[in-house]
Amino acid sequence: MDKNELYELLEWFDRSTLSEIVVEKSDTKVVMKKGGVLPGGPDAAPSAPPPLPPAETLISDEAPKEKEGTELITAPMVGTFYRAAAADAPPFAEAGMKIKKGETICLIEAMKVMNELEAEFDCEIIKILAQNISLVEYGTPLFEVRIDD
Amino acid sequence: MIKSLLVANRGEIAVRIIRACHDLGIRAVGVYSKVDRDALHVRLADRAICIGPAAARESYLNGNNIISAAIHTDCDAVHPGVGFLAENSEFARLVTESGLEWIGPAPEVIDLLGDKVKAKKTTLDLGIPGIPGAEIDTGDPAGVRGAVARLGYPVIIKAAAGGGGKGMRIVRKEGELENLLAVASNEARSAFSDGTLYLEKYLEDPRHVEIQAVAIPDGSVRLLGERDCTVQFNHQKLVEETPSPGLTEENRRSMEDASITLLGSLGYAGLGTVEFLVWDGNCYFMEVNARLQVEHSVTEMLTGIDLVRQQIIACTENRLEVPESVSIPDCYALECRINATAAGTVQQFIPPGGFGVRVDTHLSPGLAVPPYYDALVAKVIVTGKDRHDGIRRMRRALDEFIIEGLPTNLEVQKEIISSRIFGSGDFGTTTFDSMITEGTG
Repeated sequence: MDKNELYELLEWFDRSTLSEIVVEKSDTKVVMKKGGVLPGGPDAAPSAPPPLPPAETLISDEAPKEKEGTELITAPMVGTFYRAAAADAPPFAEAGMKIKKGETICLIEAMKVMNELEAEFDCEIIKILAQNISLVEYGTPLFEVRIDD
Repeated sequence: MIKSLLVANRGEIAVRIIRACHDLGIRAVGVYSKVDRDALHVRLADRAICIGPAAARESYLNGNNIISAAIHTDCDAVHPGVGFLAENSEFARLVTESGLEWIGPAPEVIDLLGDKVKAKKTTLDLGIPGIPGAEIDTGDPAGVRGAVARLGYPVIIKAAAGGGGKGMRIVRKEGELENLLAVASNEARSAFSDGTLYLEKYLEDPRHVEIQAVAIPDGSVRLLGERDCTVQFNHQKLVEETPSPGLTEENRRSMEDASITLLGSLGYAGLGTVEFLVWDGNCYFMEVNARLQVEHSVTEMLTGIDLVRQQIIACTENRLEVPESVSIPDCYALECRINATAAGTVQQFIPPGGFGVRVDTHLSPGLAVPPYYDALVAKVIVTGKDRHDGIRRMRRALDEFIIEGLPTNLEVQKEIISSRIFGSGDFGTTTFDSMITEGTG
C-alpha cells in the first residue's frame, strides 16, 4: 500500500462512523481505531502505521514542557516527519533506546529532500512526541530525551 | 478560483492579504516566526505554520520552509506580500517549480526589472526617458567635459560598480569638477576595486510620483491612477497622497503612456508600480516595483477597488476585473505611515475611525512589537473631497490615535501634516529631512 492509498483510506475512515477497521492487502496490514491513543513502541513501526488523526489536528497547540532531567528535541525545519528510512525499515529511535551523538534519529522531508536529523548529544529516548508521516513545523517537539552524562 | 493561498509575510500586510482571501472565499494559510506566535495574522489565518526562529533570514526569508508549509497544507498559491521575498526571482521560480501559483510577475520579469542596467536599456529602447547620464573615463578630460556640457549642472558622480552612497559626489559648478572626480574615483576604487564612474544629471529635491497598474501577460494593462510619495525621510516614504499636488496633465499622460508601454511589452502579470522622479517639469523613469506596495491602500481609498483581489485574480485566473478605462473619482486620498521607533509592548490602543478613515494595522493592546522586522505598525488612510479637506481629516484622525507603550512617529506625522509646507503642496523628496529631527523618524 503506498502513501497516497493510506491517506485516502485514513480520510475515508475519519469521515465514517466506524470505530475500528482492519485492512489487509498483499503484505500490508493496517489497523485503525478511533478514540483511544495507541501506545508507542513496536506497533508504531511503519509496517503497521498507527492511526493518524486528520492532518489539521496533528500539531498540538500546547507544546510539551521539558520535565526535570529531560530535554526536548524539536524540528529544525518545516516538513514531513518520518521515524524510519522506509516503510519496511525499523524506526531510527524507539522509546528506551540509547542514541549516540551523531546518530540519525528521524528524517524530515522538505522540498522533496530527505533530511537526516542527528542527535546532538548522547541520550536516551524517553518518548516519541510527533506522529509518523505528519507535518512538523519549526519547533515542533519530536522526542523527549534524557541526556547521558 | 484557487481554494487555498499561503501568505508569506507578517504584520499589517499579511493581515491585509488574509482579509482579501477571505473576501474571495479563499482559505488563507499564514506563516510565522517564533516571536510572532501571538500576531494578528496568525489569529486571522485559517491555519498557521511556524517556519523558524526570530531572525528573518531563518524564517520569513526561508524559502524552503515556506514552500514546504504551502505544500503540506494543500495551498494552490503563494502571496509574498511586500518586502522579504516579494521581489526574489529565485523564490518565485521555486514556487512555480513546486507546482504552486506565484502571485506576482514571472521570475524572468522580476530579474529584468531588478537589474538596473538591463531595466534602463529596456526602457530606453521603448522610448521611455530615464535620468540622463553617461559612463565616463577619468583619463579623458575632454570626454568628461563634453558629457557634463550635455547634461548641465548640477551633476552627480556615481561609482559604476557601486551602491550605498560610496563614490557619490554632487558637482554644482565647473570649479568643483576636477577635484570631485578624483575623490569619487579613488573612493570607488577602494570600495569596489573598480574606479569606473558614471555621471548623471542630478535632480535636486525632485517629486516622487508612481503609477499603479494591474496587468496580465497578454499585454493588457489597466492603470489605477498615481500616488505622490514625495514626503520622505532618509529616502523612506512617510506620507502618500493621490492625486499628486505637483503634476501637469502632460506629466500625467507621459507617465501613464510609459507605464502601459513598459508593462505591456514585458507581458507583466499582477500589480506593478512604475516609479518616476518629476523635476523641472519633466518626468524621468526610475524603476518598477514588481509587487504589491505598502501604499496600495491610498489607491484603494480613492478608487474603491480592492487591489489585492485584482492581483490574485490577474495572477491565478489570467484575467482583469477592472474595465479598460477606470474612472478615477475626482476626490482625494492621503496616507500616513505610523512606524515604531523602538520595540515595545502596546498598552492602550485606540485607532481613529469615522467617515472617510481607514486604519490598516496588526496592533492590539498587549502585543509585543519585536525589534527584528520592519518598523511599520499602522497606516492611517483618509479620503477628502479635495486636498484641503483630506488634510483636515488626517489631522483629526492622527489626533484621535492613541498608542501607549510603543514609541512611534505619530507626533512627527502630525507635524508634517500640519506644516505650512505640506499644505502648500510645493516640496521635494529631501524637503522634510531637515524638518524631522534625528531619532523620531
